[in-house]
This record gives sequence, structure tokens and C-alpha cells, in this order.
Amino acid sequence: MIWPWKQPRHPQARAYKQCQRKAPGRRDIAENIRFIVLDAETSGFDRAKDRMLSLATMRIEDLELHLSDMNSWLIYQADAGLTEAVNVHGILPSETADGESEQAVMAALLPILGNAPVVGHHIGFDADMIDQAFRRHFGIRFRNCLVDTAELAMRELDAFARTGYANQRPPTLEDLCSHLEISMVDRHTAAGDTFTTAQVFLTLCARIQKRLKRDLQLRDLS
Amino acid sequence: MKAETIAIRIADFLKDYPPFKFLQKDDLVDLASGGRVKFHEADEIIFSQGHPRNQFIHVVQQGRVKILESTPKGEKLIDLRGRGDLLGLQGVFNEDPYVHTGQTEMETILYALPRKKFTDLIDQSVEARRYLAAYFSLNPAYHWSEHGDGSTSVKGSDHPITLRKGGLLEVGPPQSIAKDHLVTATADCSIREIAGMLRSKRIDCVAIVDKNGHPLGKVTDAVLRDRIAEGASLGGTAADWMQHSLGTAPPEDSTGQLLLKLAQGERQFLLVTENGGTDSRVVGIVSERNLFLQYGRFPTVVGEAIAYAPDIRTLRTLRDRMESLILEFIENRGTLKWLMEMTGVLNRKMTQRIIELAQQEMHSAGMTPPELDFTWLMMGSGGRDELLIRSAVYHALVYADPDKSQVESAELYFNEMAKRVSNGLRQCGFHESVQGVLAKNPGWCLPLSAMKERFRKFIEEPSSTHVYSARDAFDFRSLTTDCPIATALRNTIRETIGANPNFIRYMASDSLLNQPPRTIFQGYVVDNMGIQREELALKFHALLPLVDVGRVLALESEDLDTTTTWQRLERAAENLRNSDPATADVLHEAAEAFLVAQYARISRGLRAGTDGAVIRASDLDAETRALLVTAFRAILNTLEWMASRYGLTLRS
Repeated sequence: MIWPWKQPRHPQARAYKQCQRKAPGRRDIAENIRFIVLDAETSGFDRAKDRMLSLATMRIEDLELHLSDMNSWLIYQADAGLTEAVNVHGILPSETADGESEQAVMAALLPILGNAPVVGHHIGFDADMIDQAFRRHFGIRFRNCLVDTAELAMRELDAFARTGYANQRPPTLEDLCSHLEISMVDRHTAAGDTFTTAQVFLTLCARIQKRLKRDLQLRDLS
Repeated sequence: MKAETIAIRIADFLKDYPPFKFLQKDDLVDLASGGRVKFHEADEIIFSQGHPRNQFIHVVQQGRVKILESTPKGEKLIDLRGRGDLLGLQGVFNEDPYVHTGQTEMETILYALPRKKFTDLIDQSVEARRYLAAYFSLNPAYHWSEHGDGSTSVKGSDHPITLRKGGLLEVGPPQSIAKDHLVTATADCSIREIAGMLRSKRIDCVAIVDKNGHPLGKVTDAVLRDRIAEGASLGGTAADWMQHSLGTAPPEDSTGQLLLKLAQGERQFLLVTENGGTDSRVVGIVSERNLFLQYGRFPTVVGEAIAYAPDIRTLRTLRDRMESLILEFIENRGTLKWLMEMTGVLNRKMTQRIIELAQQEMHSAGMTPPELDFTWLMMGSGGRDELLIRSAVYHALVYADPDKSQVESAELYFNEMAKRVSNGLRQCGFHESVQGVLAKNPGWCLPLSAMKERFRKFIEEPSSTHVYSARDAFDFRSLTTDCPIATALRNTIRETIGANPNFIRYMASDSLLNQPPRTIFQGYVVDNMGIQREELALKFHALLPLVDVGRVLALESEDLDTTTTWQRLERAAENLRNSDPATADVLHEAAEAFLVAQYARISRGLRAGTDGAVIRASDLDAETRALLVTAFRAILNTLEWMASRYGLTLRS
């Protein structure tokens, strides 16, 4: 029982919170799970100050990437400053003026996410940004289960296995792509990175499944 | 919207590969945006033979996929597919279950594209359809279009053969030329009036017709000249002057067919009549000259030059000229059948001329010919009208049985002649068969009764006589159409085969010796063991099996007059059309497969200056490659059918 006065006011947020209770279990078969691959470009790498400038998602179902179901947004951020991150993704703050408001984008994102596990490269950072936006606009937390392709790769691919040294850096998306021979498209755009990440994820899933010699479960991924 | 960028990237990838390259970019983006991306580990099954298909077609983005066929004997490799190749196409338009199994050979990324949208797009593009047709069958409606199926498919080669290269003027289809040059007169016209017509209309020939417009004869420039030279008086009517011998053709004849008729009949003119016979109205006249105006370069000109060539050296250059003509014409796939027939006519003319030259030489050397009929038999590819490239020739000389007193002199004379003609052919650039089936060799220059005996032995004792190395001898054709010696020989063969049915089975088993490769993948030829080679032995692995099968079927049905391989196969298909339509389809495909392989051999070989028996797989363009791969399948199906028909086993 959730007390009515603790319910978020925004209907999308309410629905989001509702469905979190029916999230896939750790032993659910990956093939039956809907995954959302996500990538965000931000104004910088400071979780507290910086903001999302663009966001893209794609859906994976039956462990197939559905090209028909792809979303990407440019987000208008009035007070985002010019930081070094602009050199990476090339989105100037002025350009985001064409974008939608953060609240509108987050409201659209909520039903897409639902209770699906969210896949991304270094997804932790993106998740933090989204979490803050959710709190700002709807007073809710971002609760989806996360699957980090960088983590998965370090676990699964010998080339990136943990060395035990503190200064080891997790592999970048480029590292993974060149290792797995996946051609990258539109690097450092939300849409392009999402697509590339999705292919990396599917590749890793196939490898893990082959190693395990049984159906892949959610717990094998997160 | 930015979300489209991914679909655009995928469209960019697709548009480098056929059939997608024939589609509009916008359509490709649309197609891609409804698709999916799927990753497969090595050895995963993508789809299974006999299973219903899902709503996607697959394109390999990266990796490699084996196409397998499950047979009672196990799985058989049919094809390999790599980057940009489509999977599971067979039966895609009919919603048939998967015909084969697709299994990854390594890690593979596939694009799954919506099938319905894909087939709709393909339907809208003629080029894409044409390309895809090569995947399904060697359907002549697409590739050899002669009559087609009436659909709006490619009709490129349905026109009268277009021999535009080097042409002087493009004057339209032959019928309109025929009409433009037609001048008719009635038989009671005075000869002076006729001469006036010839002069004022700047023509060479006036057609003389009756009151219904049906042809009676013709008066030509040459007739006037010759008769006057002979001292004829300048009076009378057309009826007194006209020539009665007429060549006629129906209006639907293509330029190519008209050329053949002109060359075969050694005529200068053909009257085009409503029904193609002499009992209907004349609607046009065709001469070498007015066709020449249309096409400039001309096989008949070569034919005529061959007939009057003063020596072997001239013949040799004429044969070179013929070859350059073949090279020009063969740019269009549709011309191949015509080209084979035309080259056959010219090759026979050339052989005929070499014989005449040899006889003249022998005459001046004081050798008198015995008064015996003889015939020169072209065998092997020459006999099958498939000698477009100067590969090995097979031939024999047969003469009527001499009286006892003449035996030795006849043998001496004909052996000498055979030697001279064989040498002449060699000097014209034809290789000699390694099996030694040559008239200059003992055993291939014989009186009729001995030659009959020779063939009888082949049929009665095939293994001790090594019929395999002489099997090309069964594809003989004489230089003239009605040759009593050749007919007598054919009758003997027919009778002997009738009495020795085992012979057919023996030949059938030999026809299974050469098998086609499985596929061509990324420039490599892949055989049934999965071994890859750079070179494709078109002659041994594609043409010979079909030639051998065609011969067996012709011998079995006792149809010894048909020697051309594709016609033999086509005829066998027609014979089975009602009783066994499935086999008829197999044999029909085999006939098409022969043309595909022959086309590849001739066009590659002539360009590379080789005999085309072996070509480099990496030189093939996408369409030829696709056609050849399908042809290989058709050949294999044919061999499998042969094996089961004669209770033999196909080595695998």
C-alpha cells in the first residue's frame, strides 16, 4: 500500500512507479525481457552541475534490436554552460534551443523505460543524470535495473579482464567496437552511440549464452 | 528527427549491394526503419528448412552464413553468404516455408528487414526483380527474354537483336526498313519500266507480284546486267525477265533471323510477306544492303568473304574478324542462341571453303578425285554449334563405299584430303582435340561401312573401345543439311542403340564424372567439400556435365539430329512436360544453365584471349555470379536426376 499523498502528481510518473513493482526477476530469461538501450550526451561530466543535452533509446526484445522503435531527443537547457564536453559531442548550448524542455522529454521517457532493464555503456553516469532529472521534475527516483556494457565486457572478454590494478580504466565504446569488429556509426551522437551500444550488448549476450550453455538470464547480465 | 540517422546509416550500407542498390534511398531508409538487428554466435541456426518463414528477410551485415540443404544422406552445403548478401530468399514471394537451412559459420550480425515491404519495393523495380530472378531460377523471361511471360519484366533483349556497335545509322526496326525499300510491279510491266524503277528509286530489286499482291518473282540489277551481257534483247515484260526463286520471311522475324536466312540461303534478297510464305501479300523487301545501312557490320559479309577466300591465310584473318564480331554481339546476353547458330553457319562455310581449297590444291598436284560422295563431319562443339571460341575441334571424313578396284585409290585420296583440311583448320587457329578425333588420324577417315562398324563397336563394347574419349563423335553434323551419308550413319547408330540399351546407362554413368562447384563466395569457388579455389573450371564443371547429359538424353530418345546441348535438354524437357512436369522443370533449368555458363565462358574467354575453359571467379560481375551459382544448382539437380533415373550414384 502506497499512501496517496506519497504518490507523485504526474500521471506518467505514477504509472512508472506502479510498474516498477512488476520488474523482471533475476532469473527471468533474457529472451523474454524487454531491454531499453540508452545513451545521453551531457554538457559535462559533473553529475551535480551538468545537464543532459540529448538522449536516445532503442528497444531490444527477443534479443533483437528493433529499429522501428527508436527515440531521440534534443533537450533545451537554458542554464547549461559551455564545458569541455562540448568538444566531444559538438552540441552547443545555443543549439539545444531547438530542443524540447527537459520535463517534456523525461515525461516521454518514463513510459518507454517502464520496468525494463536499461542497457548502456558506462550507464551509471547516464542513470545519475536521469535520476536527478526525475527528482527535479517528478520527485521520483530512477529505479530501473542497469546493465553496463563496459562492466559486461570486463567480465566476459579476456582482453578487458580486470587486472587488479586500481588504475585500470574500463574499456571505451571504441575499444569494444574495434575488439568485436563492430563498425561504429555517428560516434558521440546519442542515437549513434545507442545503436553501437546495442550491437555490443547483443554480441556480448551471444557470447555469454554460448559460454553458459543455457538460456541467458537477467542475473547473468547485471 | 534524429532517430532516422540510424536507419539512414543502414540504408547507406544496403545501397552498396544488389538488389538494394536498385532501390531509392528514401525507400531503403523506410525499409531499414522497420527492421531489426540480430546477433548470432557461430553455428547458430537462423532458419530451418521446411519451417514457416517469419515476417523478415535477412541481410548479412557482418560474418558468414552457410546455406544447407537437408537430405536423407545428411546436410549438403548449397551456398555461402557474406556481407551484403540476402538470406532465405527462395520462395519469399510465395510465402513458402524455408527451402534451406541457414546456419552461421562465425559471429554474424544480421539485419532483419520487413519482408512485405521488401517484396513490395522489389516489385516496383525492374532491375531489382531482374537481379533477384537470378536467385530463384534461370527464368528466361528475365535473362534470355525471348517471349517472356507477357509481364512488364525486362524486355531488353526482346527486340530484334541490336548490333549497334560500329553501326552507321539507326534506322528503326527491320520491318520499317523492309517497307521503305519495297517496290512492286506486275508481271505485264515492260522491262524498260522496271529498269526505270530501279534507277529512280535507287534500289537493287523490284518484286513482281500478281493482282492479289502475292509474289511471283523478282527482277534485280544483276539480272538485267547478266541477261544483257548474254545478249538478250531489250524488250518484253517483267514476266520474261524475272527470277522465280524467292526467299521469303514473315514480318515478325527479327533482324538476327533475317540475317541467318540471308546467310544460309546465300540470298541477296528476302521478300517479307504477310504469312512468311509465297501465298500471301508482299509487305517488304530486305537485302543485305539495306540491313547493312542499319547495322553496319555484318556476319553475312564475313560469310560471303569466306566463300570466296583465295587461301587459308585469308580464311584465318576472316576467322579473326568473326571473333571480333562475336565479341561485339555478345554484350547482349539475349544474342547468345542466335550467335551460336550464326557462328555454326560460318564455321561450316569456313570448313567447306577449306575443303574446296584442298581439292583445288590436290587437283593442281595431279591427284584426281574418285567419283565418290563424301561428307565432312564436324563433331564435338563444332557439331553442336557451340564453337564460338577457338577451342578444340573434332571432325571426321566419311566417304561412300568404293568398288573393290577403287578401295586403295579412294583411301589414298581421302586421307590426303583429310590431312590437308585438318591442317587448314589448325592454321585457322582451332586447337585439335587431345583425344585425336580428327579426320587426319586413322579411324576417323573411313568409308561409310567402316565408319558404321566403328560406331557399332563403340555402342556394343563401350568400355573396351574407350567410348568416353570419343563420345564427342556422337555429336556429328555434316556441312550440308541433307546429307545421305550422315543420315545412313545416324540410322545405324539408332539401330545399334536399340539393340544395346546398356550403352545408354554406360554413357549416363560417364556423364556424372564432372560435378559443378557449390558456389562462388567473395571471389572464390567453393566445392562440395568446402574447399575454396580462385579458379573456376567452367568447361569441366559446368559445361561438360550438361553436354554429356544432353547427349545421353538425345541418344536415348534416338533424336540424333538435334545436336545443340540447350536444344537437346529443352527437347527432353518438352517430352516430359506432361508425364513428369517436375523433371521437365529441372531439364529446362539445365538448358538455361548451359546458356549461362556458355555465355560466361565465351564472354570471359574472348576478352581474356583464352579458350575460357577456366576463368577467375573474382572477375565476375554480381549478376553473372548470381546466375552461375544458380546454374550450378541446376546442374547438380540435373545430375542427381540422371543418377536416380539410371540407378547410379552421384559421388559426393
